[in-house]
Amino acid sequence: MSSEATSTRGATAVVLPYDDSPMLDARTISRTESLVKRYMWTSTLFLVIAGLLGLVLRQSQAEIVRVDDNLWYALMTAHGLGAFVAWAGFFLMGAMYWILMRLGIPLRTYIFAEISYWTMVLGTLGIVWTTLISGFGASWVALYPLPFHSAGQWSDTATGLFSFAVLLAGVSIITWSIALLIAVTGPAIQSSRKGVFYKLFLALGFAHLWPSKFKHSGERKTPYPVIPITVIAINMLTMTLPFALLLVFMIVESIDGSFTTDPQLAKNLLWAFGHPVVYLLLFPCVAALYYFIPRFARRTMISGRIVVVVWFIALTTNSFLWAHHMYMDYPDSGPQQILNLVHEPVTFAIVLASAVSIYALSATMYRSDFQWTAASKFLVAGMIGWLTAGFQGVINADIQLNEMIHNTLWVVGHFHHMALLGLGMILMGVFYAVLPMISHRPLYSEKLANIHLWGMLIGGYGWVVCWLIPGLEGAPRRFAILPEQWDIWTQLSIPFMVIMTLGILVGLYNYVRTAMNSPWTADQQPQIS
Amino acid sequence: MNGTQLFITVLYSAVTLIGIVGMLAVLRSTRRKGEALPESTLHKLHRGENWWALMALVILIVFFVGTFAGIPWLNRAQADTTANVRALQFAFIVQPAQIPAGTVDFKVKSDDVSHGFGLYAPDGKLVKQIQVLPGVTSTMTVDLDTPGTYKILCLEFCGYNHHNMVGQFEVTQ
Ligand SMILES: [Cu+2]
Ligand SMILES: [Cu+2]
Repeated sequence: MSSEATSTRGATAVVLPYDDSPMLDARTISRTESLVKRYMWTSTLFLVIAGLLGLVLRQSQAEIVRVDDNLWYALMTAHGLGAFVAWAGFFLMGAMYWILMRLGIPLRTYIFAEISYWTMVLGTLGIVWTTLISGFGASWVALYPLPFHSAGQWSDTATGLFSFAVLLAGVSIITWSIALLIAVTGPAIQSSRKGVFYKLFLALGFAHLWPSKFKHSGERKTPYPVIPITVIAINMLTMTLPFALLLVFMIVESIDGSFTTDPQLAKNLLWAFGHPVVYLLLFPCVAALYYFIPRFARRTMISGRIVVVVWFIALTTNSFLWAHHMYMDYPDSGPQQILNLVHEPVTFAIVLASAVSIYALSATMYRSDFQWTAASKFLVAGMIGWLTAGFQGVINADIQLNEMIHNTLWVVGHFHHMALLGLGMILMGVFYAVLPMISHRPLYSEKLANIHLWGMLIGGYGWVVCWLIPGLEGAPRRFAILPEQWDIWTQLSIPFMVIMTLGILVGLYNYVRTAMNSPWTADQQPQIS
Repeated sequence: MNGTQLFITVLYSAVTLIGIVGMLAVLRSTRRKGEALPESTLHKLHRGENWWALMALVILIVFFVGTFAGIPWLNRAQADTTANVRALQFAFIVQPAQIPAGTVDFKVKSDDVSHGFGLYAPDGKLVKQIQVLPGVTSTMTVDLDTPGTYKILCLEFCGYNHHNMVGQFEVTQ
């Protein structure tokens, strides 16, 4: 069966310059590939919707076609969840199945992956329905008690249904985490001992760190990409729960108005999930870089023990750093001030995982015979975006600097920089790398990929700067209509946004053509063997 | 631009420049095709990882220690005046509406949902902010030396009319 897998890959000349993937049976490969295809194409469809909403929002601020106030906020709610969770998060969730499979750690059961897929699809449709049709416009954070103080714009029922839709997306993330944790604690991790926790430590790379205590039964130590995947699976399994609890409270209140929640507790529950979920994007992107960069550089990753340490720090700190979203909440009484203070160094600590990863990846590329393709160009461009947006993150982690930047357009600039020009470009690089392999066809056009790349770099950075600069002057975020003094920046951002959008459209065309006429028929194409 | 904004601009520009130059140097180094890295260089790159991690740790610690000087609830000046602020969907009511120049304690309360008390100077630039949750009092202490009309914008999203939630008061000589 291994020869069959080889010939499948060889026949289409879609191979990585360096690849030590263990060979799996053809059935596992085709099953994972069809699952991954579904995740990737569905999430790409959500990108189109969420991206369109984003365009409408920004052009309305620039007064091209002004949208009604509550509709603007409802679109904003859908755009935020759609772009972040339903596109980027969902895509990367699928991509992780593929990377684990390539590393010889395929899913052991598909049931959780299927539940994860369908709950995300239903949740996203529910979010689109409750925002665009029922008018729920309390933003994705739905900061309690705002969902129940709509000033006549939407009903409590809409709040209940919205909460339920978001809860479905939460179930999707939890079941995905379970699917991954079952895979990495299975026989493929080659543990020398029984016991789930021992296997979990092996998956976290402890055989690299402490070889006398943590031993594999075979030769191979845990591949580096598995470490961030395991970390985020554990984090998401635990940290989705506080938010799920809050959503349940809101559903109950939408039915029985006498049931209420403390607003301060609610805000803490929200951010206990709201920050870690950022890493639902970042950590899988790092895993993808750990997987692909060494293969394009044609050498194994230059990394040692410290990487295991910093990922273990990331695992533990990720559960205790949410209060950096509440730095400007310091009421006269109560423990919030202390919590905020404690969460500052914890937030700084998690930066170490990024710092060490950037070093390891750069060292791996250094003086290598690096192969430049559409995929690797996007991965590297994304790394640069991650680095430059990451510095902003360190500024945002600082309490005193928040007095100037909290809830300003600086933050909007920061997360679009990070999520689209950093992680989004890494994600698009993953798509360029994976799509030819799972479609068994070479990339349609390297030239179009270059247009896609430069459209995003030129348009994207110009577009982001138009938020960062007014943000530093205190321009507020989440304003359907911005104060006049910053109009010039809104107008300036429009041409950049158009360039970026055209670039992305070229990219989408390139993806679709690569997968042949229609992505939905790709599955039915006869396999080349 | 005030001191904090200048600090962020200079620091961020400098660090980003260094980061980009570093990355470009790595990318350039890949142009020498095919030549294998000597063992000694590989060894150095491996060891460099520990030094790099240590450097990042030290920078982060310095940054963290530095923030103590500016944590608002640990560095409160003695106020000359107190002003009470009521935040509600979608207005700010400041009492008194005329405040003598000096150090002011703003005691902010909300009637309904979470709001953000964002204080803007007569020149339109943000001076300082604090968030207020319903059910608690948040106190923001700030030096207001320049007389003129100060504006308040809401810096926490609070509903369909959030962008029209504006307040103002005078600072007198
Ligand atoms: Cu955060
Ligand atoms: Cu408000």
